[in-house]
Amino acid sequence: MIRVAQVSKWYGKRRVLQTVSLELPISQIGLLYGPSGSGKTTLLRLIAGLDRPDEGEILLGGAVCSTPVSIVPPLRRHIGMVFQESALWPHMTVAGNVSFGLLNASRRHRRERVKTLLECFDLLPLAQRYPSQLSGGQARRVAIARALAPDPAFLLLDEPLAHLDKALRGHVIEMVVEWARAIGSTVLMISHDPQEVEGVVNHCWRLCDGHITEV
Amino acid sequence: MVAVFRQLSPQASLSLGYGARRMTLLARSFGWALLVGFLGMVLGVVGALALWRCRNGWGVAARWLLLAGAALPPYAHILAWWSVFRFLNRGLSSVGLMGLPQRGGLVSLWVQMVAQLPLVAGLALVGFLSVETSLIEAGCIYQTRARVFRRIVLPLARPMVVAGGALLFVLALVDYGIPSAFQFPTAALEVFVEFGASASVGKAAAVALPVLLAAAMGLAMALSGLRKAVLMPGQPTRLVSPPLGPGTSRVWVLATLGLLFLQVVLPVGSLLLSVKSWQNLLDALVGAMSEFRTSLWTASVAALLSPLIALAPAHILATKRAGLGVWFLLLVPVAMPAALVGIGLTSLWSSLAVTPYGTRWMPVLAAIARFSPIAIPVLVAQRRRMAEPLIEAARVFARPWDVWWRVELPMTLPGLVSAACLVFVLTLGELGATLIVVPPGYATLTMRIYTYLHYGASEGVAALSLALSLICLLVGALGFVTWRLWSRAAMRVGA
Repeated sequence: MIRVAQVSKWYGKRRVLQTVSLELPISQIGLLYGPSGSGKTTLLRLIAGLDRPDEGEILLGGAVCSTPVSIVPPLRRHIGMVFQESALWPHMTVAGNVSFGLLNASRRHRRERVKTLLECFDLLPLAQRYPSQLSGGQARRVAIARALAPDPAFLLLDEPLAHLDKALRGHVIEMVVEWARAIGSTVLMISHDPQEVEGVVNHCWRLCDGHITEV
Repeated sequence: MVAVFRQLSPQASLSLGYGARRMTLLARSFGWALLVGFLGMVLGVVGALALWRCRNGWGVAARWLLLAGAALPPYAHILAWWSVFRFLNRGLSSVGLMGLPQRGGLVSLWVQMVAQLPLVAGLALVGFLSVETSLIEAGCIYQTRARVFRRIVLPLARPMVVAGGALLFVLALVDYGIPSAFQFPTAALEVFVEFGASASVGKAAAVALPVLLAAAMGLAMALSGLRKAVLMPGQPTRLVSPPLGPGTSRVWVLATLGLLFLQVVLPVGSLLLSVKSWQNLLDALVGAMSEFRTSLWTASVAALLSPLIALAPAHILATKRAGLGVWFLLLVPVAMPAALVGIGLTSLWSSLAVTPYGTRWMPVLAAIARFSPIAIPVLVAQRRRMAEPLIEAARVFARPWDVWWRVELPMTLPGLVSAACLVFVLTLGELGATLIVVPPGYATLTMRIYTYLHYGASEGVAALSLALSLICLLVGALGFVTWRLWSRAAMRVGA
């Protein structure tokens, strides 16, 4: 379960989030949408532990992970995350990027897991390519595969369908949902266009000027 | 370079005879310079990590103070470490232990490394800051901070880290100031010795050739990272908590303080202690007034002219897509042994009818030849950080000359000031080329200090070094402040 309780966040003098609360039950899929600059990415970063809230608290799986005075590091939150700009490491191959979250696993398990994920997202022929040799859509799929690789308990997706052409969007979202269900992940995603993921989400929130409303 | 190497004949090389002594000297110099480069790079990474941690309040002040330590001339470090070793050895002998060596390769390696630390640490820091925040954050989700640093930050910053080490190697190879003070003969010094003994440009060139080749290789290794650092557009990415290796923040704060101590507090403090009284400082300055004037004149004129000379190449490097070859050609004078620059200038000008040879312009020319290339990266970096739309807007209304004269040049002024400050500071500490080109009856303060240094440290030397160090620190600070103020102003207009 992801629980955000009365969270506020300031950047300088600007209040980006104003006492935002949401609750996403375990193994369910939630959607956050809203106009640009409404605080969607900020909220996702707070849940990931990349930023600290100025007010309120965030709980993952029932455990308090973020408060204004204490924060559990991202590594110990069992999350997978797709960043807005993919954030692929340019010096690693596609396979290297996907396997980064599996460095503690055995080499054999790592290889098999990477192969399965790359196959699933039609990336196997690109395994030895570097991010600079990928198109925007291919990079996006690599970022999703990387987020899924360590079987995260919580999956945070910032515009996962950006840069993907229409034909591919349906397939990718289908794969994400299938994987998430298989590993029991709770998924919170951001999308500009709620209609794209209409059929798969269980909960939907709209963020506008830092205020949240459940739709 | 052409003036020197056109006189390099096979006969000169053969008559010189690379005997066992010279071969050993060459091998030892290369090995020593490699060690300086490598260990300096390691220390630089530690320093950069410590500085990366210093992001708020006093930490930022410590960061700038440490980097400003680059302005300190080498003899400030030489004198400081002499005092330290003397002090330590007194303590060791009082308890019946053997003293530490006060001369030789090991000591000069340490001092050379510490003296050039801001350069390596600064480049490594730029490397760390150039890694995109999102790449670090993405790593932190899956792995420990130490692993993220090792597998993501360090590989991405590697070109700049290596550039720092390679530049340190080049500087250690071509300049003999510090090793000669610790009686460690190097190949760069041998160039000067050979020219002094034979007065043959060809023979000096033959001695210098392997040094030049090795230094050019070092420069080539540094270029990729240096170019990346210089061409990095605008402000580095938003700072996040850096993914440090093991250890608590207290360890890194202590590391920063330790570096600050080594780099600034120790040299300046030791000079202050050695001078003993203000009267000594005054006496030493009055006694060396002529050298003081020569030094200031030489440094001022070189500082005025070098950035202007560097303007055109900097413009080419900043606006055209110049390859590494062009960068190499423009910066290769940095890899020339200092003595060779002096020999080349002497050889070139002494054969002409109208010539500055034998005048006080010769040291200025030597400084320009050595340090104009160093002004180029400063100007390129500043040009790259200019608000391009402002220049493009001017192009709509004016001819290219007017755009350059009325818009680009005024916007380049802060870069010119910073480059001038850098050249001024470097010229004040220059010795290798000046020794060869200085006309009879003239001497710079650095020459006088080094002459005295060979008779051992004294209050007089410390006083002169202190005066020069303070001037260097002030001018260095002026350069830094100009750059910082401009950077902030440029960011406000959206550069």
